[in-house]
Amino acid sequence: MTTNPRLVIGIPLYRGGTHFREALESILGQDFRDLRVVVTDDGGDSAGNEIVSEYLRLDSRLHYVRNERRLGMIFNWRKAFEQARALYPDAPYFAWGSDHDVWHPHWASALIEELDSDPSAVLAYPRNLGIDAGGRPLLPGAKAGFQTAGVVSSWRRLRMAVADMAAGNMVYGLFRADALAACGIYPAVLLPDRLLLAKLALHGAFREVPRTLWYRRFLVGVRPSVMRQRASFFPEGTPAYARLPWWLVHGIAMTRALVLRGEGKPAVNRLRGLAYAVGYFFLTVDFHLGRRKHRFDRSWRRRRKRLRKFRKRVRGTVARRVRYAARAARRSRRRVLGYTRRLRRGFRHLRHVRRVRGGAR
Amino acid sequence: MSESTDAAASADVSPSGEFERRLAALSSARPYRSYLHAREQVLTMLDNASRVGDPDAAPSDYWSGELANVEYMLDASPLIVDRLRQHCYHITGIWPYNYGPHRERSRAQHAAKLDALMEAGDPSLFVPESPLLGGFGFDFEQGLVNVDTLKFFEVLIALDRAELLAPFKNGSERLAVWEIGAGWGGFAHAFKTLFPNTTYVISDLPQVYLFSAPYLMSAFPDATFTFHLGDGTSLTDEQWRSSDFVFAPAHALDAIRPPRLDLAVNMVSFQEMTTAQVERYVAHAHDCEVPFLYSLNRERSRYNPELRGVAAIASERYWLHEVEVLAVTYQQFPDVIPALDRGHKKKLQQGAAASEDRLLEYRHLVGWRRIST
Repeated sequence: MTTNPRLVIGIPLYRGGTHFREALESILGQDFRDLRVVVTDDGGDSAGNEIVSEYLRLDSRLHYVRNERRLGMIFNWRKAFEQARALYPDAPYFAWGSDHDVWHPHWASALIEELDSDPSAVLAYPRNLGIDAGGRPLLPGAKAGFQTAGVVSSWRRLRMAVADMAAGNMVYGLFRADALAACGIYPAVLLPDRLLLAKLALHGAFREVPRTLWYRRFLVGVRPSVMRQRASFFPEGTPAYARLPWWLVHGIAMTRALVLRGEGKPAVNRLRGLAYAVGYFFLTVDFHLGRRKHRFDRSWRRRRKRLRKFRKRVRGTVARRVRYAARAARRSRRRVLGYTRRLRRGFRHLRHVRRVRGGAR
Repeated sequence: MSESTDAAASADVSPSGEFERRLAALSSARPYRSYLHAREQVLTMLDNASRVGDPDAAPSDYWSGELANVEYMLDASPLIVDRLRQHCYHITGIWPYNYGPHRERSRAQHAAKLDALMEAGDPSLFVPESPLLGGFGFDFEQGLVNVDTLKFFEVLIALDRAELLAPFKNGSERLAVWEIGAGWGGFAHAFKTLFPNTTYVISDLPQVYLFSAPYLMSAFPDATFTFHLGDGTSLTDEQWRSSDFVFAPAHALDAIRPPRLDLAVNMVSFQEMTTAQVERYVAHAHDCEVPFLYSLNRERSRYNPELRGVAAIASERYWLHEVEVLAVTYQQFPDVIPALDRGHKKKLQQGAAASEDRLLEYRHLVGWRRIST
């Protein structure tokens, strides 16, 4: 077994959960064998520890580190990368794992082949399929993603990334470890994956492998939200800046990274970085407003649909009642006419009888 | 004298004379010679099976009945072999009669399903039924189509969706596929047609080889066929690698140890076996480090009380993932195929197709080998 693997996968663990065993096996069962796995346990429960201990005996490629105190999701993600770099500094590729998703056995070989074929690419990711807790697909097939392969302009790559990226899926792709380190790994902000990928877009291209090689598990009752992110990212209390709008924080973070720290070099110098940071801020605002509008439109469409259904039901009810009333009125009219006819007949008969009797006298 | 007899025979245009000539031609044709060769191997396998006496390899009650119906295949005439596909009814339940010109509605339903499958997957994976040995079906632009043709197409689409066909499409490396219960060899024919650089291993009851072996030997006249006789010997690595088709009977499961096996496949067969048999096959696949196991089965068949559950057994050694291709199973032929979208899935979840009903439906399941069992 080599000591310099080509790929290291860092799994930031919090709770063992029902699906961790399958997730871990899907990573260890990759057909690409030259990889190592580093698990950083943030101390949620002992189930994860027990499962990892079992696999430590079976597979020597696995390493386990337990955090002394809970770091929260962001810092645990950072630690997974830092630990991987410390153990295997020469490994060219890195990826994050999770405790509930599933990786196809061909995932690593396909993505490594993609990055090997394009030295300018910094991220390769596959198509993904959503699955439920039982592993059933939520939709029959995976949708195509986006890529910036062949796009030379870093500003254009950044614009495309902000507009089209599915950050929550792409962050589980395969990274060039050096590019990731240059981007500051995982920023301590809300929606950190978006910011990370935006910074990464300046360093190189994103390539999509048009094969469904990753299965994202959606658990009932677990929906991504800003509140949930605050709770999991900052266990010791949300810092003040994390309460600001995320797009504002992202703009400031990007400015700090590109202008003050010079993280965009060599692709982007500090002066250009300032322009990019301002541009990024406006792009993010535009994206945020667009997302709000989309959510509003979606909820308005739903409300309009419900309103239409209600109106139809009411109209149906009213129309039905009018019909019944008309039918009842016709029935009553017929009845009344019938009585009137009988009365008239009776009176006619009486008159006839009187006439006859009067004539007889 | 003989010349005059021959001359007289060739001049005989009566039906009986014509029949004799045809019979003679069929007797010397490749399919019948293949059948005779296969029969010899099958009889040897049966002798060895009775000697070995493995109770787990014995057919289930269901299959014992079916095998009694096909006993006549041990003494099939050239005429039967010439129409071999039409005798596969005993295995598949599909009659050529159901594909006559009077079946307009069925034809339209088959056409609708074919169109739906063409849209759902890669059309290049479609292999029409061969007219060889009495092949039958509705004649469409793409070729002969019947239930089995569409089933195999759907299976290939499911395998493609599960990203299992990419190494086979590459074609640079010789890979190996193990089909458990290959029936008349239809899927083997389709797979080998699409991916010729494959060693195809077939495990089955010996009597069923009387269908699959002559068929495949006729369809691939230049291929290399190896029969393992179940006599306790093993094939060499070179024999495994160089063979295009390997027939290894059910009682010789332990002899199936090729240098590599890349995929194990079972269609509508596990559901008719006993629990012990399915466990044996799945355990053997796991021991041979077969990375992927594919199953198209019901969880259990209504007619087979001897089985615990296909997915329940397979999930002990393989992580199972369901793949969806169409909103209907391979046996269903509605006039209009519903779209497989979120609305349809929601209806399924809310409707009567609850977990118990789903167990009786056919599902495409792909298993990834477990590390820890």
